[in-house]
Amino acid sequence: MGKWSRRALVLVAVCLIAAPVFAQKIGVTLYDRDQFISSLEQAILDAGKAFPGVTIDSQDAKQDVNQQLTQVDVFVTKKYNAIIVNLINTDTVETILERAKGTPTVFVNRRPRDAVIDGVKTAYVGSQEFDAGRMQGEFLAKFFQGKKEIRYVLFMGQLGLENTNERTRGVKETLTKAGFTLTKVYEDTAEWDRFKAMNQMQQLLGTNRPFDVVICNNDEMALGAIEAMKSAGRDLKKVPVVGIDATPPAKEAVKAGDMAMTVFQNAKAQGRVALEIALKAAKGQKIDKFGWVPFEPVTIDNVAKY
Amino acid sequence: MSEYILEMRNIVRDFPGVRALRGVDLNLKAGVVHALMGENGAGKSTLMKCLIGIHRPTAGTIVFKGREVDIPNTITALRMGISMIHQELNPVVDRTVMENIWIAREPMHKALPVFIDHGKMFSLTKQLFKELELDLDPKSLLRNLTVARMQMVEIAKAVSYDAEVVIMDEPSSALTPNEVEHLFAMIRKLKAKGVAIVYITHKMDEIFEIADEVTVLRDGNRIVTEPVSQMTIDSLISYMVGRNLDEMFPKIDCPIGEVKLEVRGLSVPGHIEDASFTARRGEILGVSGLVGAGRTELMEAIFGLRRRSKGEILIDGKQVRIDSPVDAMGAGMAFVTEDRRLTGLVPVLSVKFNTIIANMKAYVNSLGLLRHRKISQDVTSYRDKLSIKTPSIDTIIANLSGGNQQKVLVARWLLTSPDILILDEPTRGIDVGAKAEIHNIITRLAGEGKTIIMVSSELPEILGMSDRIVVVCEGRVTGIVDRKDANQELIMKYATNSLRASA
Amino acid sequence: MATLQTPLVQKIVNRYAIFIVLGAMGASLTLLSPDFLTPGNLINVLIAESGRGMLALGVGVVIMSRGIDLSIGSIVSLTSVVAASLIQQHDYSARIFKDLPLLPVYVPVIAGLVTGTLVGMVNGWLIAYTAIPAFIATLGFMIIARGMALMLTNAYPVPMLRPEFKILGQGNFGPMPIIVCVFIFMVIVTWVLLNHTRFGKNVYFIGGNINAARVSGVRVERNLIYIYAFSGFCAALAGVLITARAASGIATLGNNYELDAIAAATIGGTSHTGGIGTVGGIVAGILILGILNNGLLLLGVSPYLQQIVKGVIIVFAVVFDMRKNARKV
Ligand SMILES: Nc1ncnc2c1ncn2[C@@H]1O[C@H](COP(=O)(O)OP(=O)(O)OP(=O)(O)O)[C@@H](O)[C@H]1O
Ligand SMILES: [Mg+2]
Repeated sequence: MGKWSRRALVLVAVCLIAAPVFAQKIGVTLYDRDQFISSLEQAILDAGKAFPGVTIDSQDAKQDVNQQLTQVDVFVTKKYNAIIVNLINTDTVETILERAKGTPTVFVNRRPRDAVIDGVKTAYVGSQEFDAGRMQGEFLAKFFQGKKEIRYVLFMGQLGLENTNERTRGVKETLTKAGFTLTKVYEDTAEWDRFKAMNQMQQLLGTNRPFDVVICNNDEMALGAIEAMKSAGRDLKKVPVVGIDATPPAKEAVKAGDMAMTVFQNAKAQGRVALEIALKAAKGQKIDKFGWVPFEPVTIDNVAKY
Repeated sequence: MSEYILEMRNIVRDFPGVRALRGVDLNLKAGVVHALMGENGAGKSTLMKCLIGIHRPTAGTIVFKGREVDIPNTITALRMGISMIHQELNPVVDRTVMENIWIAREPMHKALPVFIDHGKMFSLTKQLFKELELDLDPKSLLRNLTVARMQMVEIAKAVSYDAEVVIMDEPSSALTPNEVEHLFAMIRKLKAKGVAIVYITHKMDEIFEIADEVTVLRDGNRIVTEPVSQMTIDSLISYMVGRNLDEMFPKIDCPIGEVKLEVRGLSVPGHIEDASFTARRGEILGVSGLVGAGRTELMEAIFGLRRRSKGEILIDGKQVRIDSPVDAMGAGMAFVTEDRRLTGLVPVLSVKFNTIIANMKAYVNSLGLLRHRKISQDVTSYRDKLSIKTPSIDTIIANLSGGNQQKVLVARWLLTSPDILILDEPTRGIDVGAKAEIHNIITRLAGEGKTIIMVSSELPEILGMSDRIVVVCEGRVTGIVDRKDANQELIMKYATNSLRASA
Repeated sequence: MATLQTPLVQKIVNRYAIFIVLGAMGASLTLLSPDFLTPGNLINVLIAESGRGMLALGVGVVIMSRGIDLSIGSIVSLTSVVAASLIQQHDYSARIFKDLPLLPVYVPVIAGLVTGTLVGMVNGWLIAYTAIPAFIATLGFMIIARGMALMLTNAYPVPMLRPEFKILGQGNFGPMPIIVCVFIFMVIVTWVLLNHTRFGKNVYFIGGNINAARVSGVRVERNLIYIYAFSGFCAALAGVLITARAASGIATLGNNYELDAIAAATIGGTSHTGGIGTVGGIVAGILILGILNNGLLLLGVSPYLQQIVKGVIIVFAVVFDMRKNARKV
């Protein structure tokens, strides 16, 4: 028996012992596969490849709460070691934890109530939505330095969602704290939708009401607003449009000087951190309650980096 | 070429569970009216549907003008020169008269043949109506016409194809005597043009007036084909039912009690003006009048189906409030409606559920569940009593022959054991045998002290069955006639009374 | 018997109820907001509603034939990404088809229209020949078409479209935006189809009484395919133009549009029991929705209150219109 075969033997033995330790099965349930979630999902899968023996079963609940619950049930029945949940509705979190029957559960991107996070079996990974709004506010505060009043147009995401509320609160509070008086010219939901925002913007422009800024809860709506303003011949340098998400077309718009700024939410980092915490929890190791992945402001100065 | 324009040879047609036709022959000559007779469910409509391309024969051949033909769909039949008036009316009620007539063969613009030429369509329709001496507005919606007028439109449509064979499946069942005369005049014209006509009816007298030859079907078999001249009513009936029939109008005089229902000064805007009459226990009250006179509307108003602008309804001398069918049923009334397709049948449900639908309450147990065994027992007993011909009580009612569907509706309302039974054209489309049975049942119910109100367009039926007759004309009650004074002339006089007065 | 007739005024009110609702809404908004009755604003309303309007025309025809088409929203998505992917700027690095040569602008337009019409034809074929209900067939394609759109794009938008394509959605034809011109053109086409061609009559006959149509020689199956193809075509046309206007192909574009379009057709008096409906009604329906959205925007009504107001007005409009059918028996 040569040196090589002995080594092989050892390797096999190690694998046999190690396999039960490393063979982790992780279930992932996503609210829907939009662009952001798709890259988050990809990050989870990519991160998983770094850990031998880890298998990841990723499912898409298509915005259907029941389907999400069923997926959790299936994960539990198959005795998965941990579950990563991208909530559809934050109200279902108790039910999900009940169905998880003690399986470690990491929430990602959609934040449940803090009370259910215990830092042992449950954790939350995401970015503080409020910060995204805050960054928009900080950017605008600098932009409007010396002014007292800001007449704003605001396009919100789906009403009643946490990110809609927090992003809106973030930008408004930051600007108020910086000493500005905010005057509403128009404030409505465009349901994250580019075309809806575009239509609303066009009708608003038709009334010739003056405004100083267009704040959007996401980039798609910002791009819609920009499209409408461009065809009405508005100067996008004087009236900044700000978005959130830093999607590829939004970054192009920032580069072209059409969009004043956007905020990068690090989907890849969220996915990676979520998986790391899930693996730790699966092994029974101590975990943090929150895994915060910071937002990053993107402007014409740093857009090349993203 | 043979003397026949069309020959059907040895036609067999199977449906799931039934063999509707068991090798039937039918030969038609140009310029001859060929009557097709038989009890409900004998297979008359099925045979004709094989000819018009709705059904395909399971076996057998069709020879048209000397050539064997295959008729896979209606379009083929219509193109070949065969048209049909269907037993179940087939109007598209939200479209106009002329659109219904020219459906699928609208006249097109000469210059731009993708567009329909409505002007031409209108003038063609006018011309057709003039030829047929019909007084109808080509542009009115079918929905606004009476059943009889819809039927006249169907007839006009079948004629307008200029077909060589015209099939008429019970065209007269919704028509009044005057309109039947009108129809016969049209048939005679077609005959003179050399058209072969198949005429299906349950009315004996019509056969002897219009038909040249008769074929009788029974249970899917051809029993006989003979010239009408060699037939008598009795021989015809015995061919149809396979035995001699008892009395057609088995009216027995039974004691008539006190007033059960009184209608006072009832008005329905647009239909009924100030109608008053009474009906007593044990009485059969006939309601006669021309089609469109408002008889049906009057009954619907009494039953709470139509809003009244004026008038009271009293039962046992006490005023009752009837605003809906539920109120009416609560007051002990039942109503067999005139148009079984529009307001009677639930076509997709079984015979069983169509029978119990008005009486569901009686078949619910204390848990609120249906008592299926009791339902089956009762439905079976009524099926036997009324001899409803159906493969089973679970058969979908749409698959029954027209007459049998009507019997199911009668059974439905008998099942509610009402005190007052309103029957609107209860024997329309029903064969002689079944008709006698229904008359029997009506008589028996009257004998039990029930009040019967029977609307009918058939004068012999009205005269044969009623104790008293209410005659309606143009929305008004123009006469109430006692049985002993009643005769055809008197009734017709009242029925056309104000027509003449206003003319 | 004049006394027995319904008064003429009431007849007119009943017949034109939906247009009266529309007029009343227009009048009250004129009073409430000075910005409402300006040519610019009205054109903006038309621009915003043109896309959904085309959908409503198509699905209106389907509803008249006693069917339903739930797939139109997804057809918008699918056409959007198909058309957009064929006309991305060549200097955009993340474009879908990297090796595509510069295509003339009619290629994506035709590709989009063909895609939508094909989906419609398959819908129609399934409904005509397999006897599955329209609800199910088109629900299937609602899911399938959206899935195809997402798969083609990985859920990423398809941005950076060439300007000569964008002009279709953003440009003007004389004083009128092209998209509005196309909508008006489609209104006329649909009106002519329904009122002056055999196809239109067949729609009403099939919807009014499919058996009557069949025994009278209407080729029901073939016409069903035409009907759903028409609906698919309308949706595809809307999809192409909206994409050009939004300057981006979006796989979620047209989400829930089917509901808006069905609502517009229904508000406009198209009967779900088939055989009844007019193009005028559908246009009124879509304008009611459009004016409603516009009015709420101009008045700055709180987004939460908006939903309640919208729901109430829609239900009220239909109740007011339905009185004409409210007769006993
Ligand atoms: N589509 C069908 N499916 C099953 N059975 C059917 C169908 N159509 C007819 N039948 C059956 O075929 C038989 C013949 O029916 P058909 O309608 O031809 O009778 P008919 O002679 O026209 O009677 P009526 O005088 O009542 O109109 C009946 O037993 C009927 O139940
Ligand atoms: Mg028959």
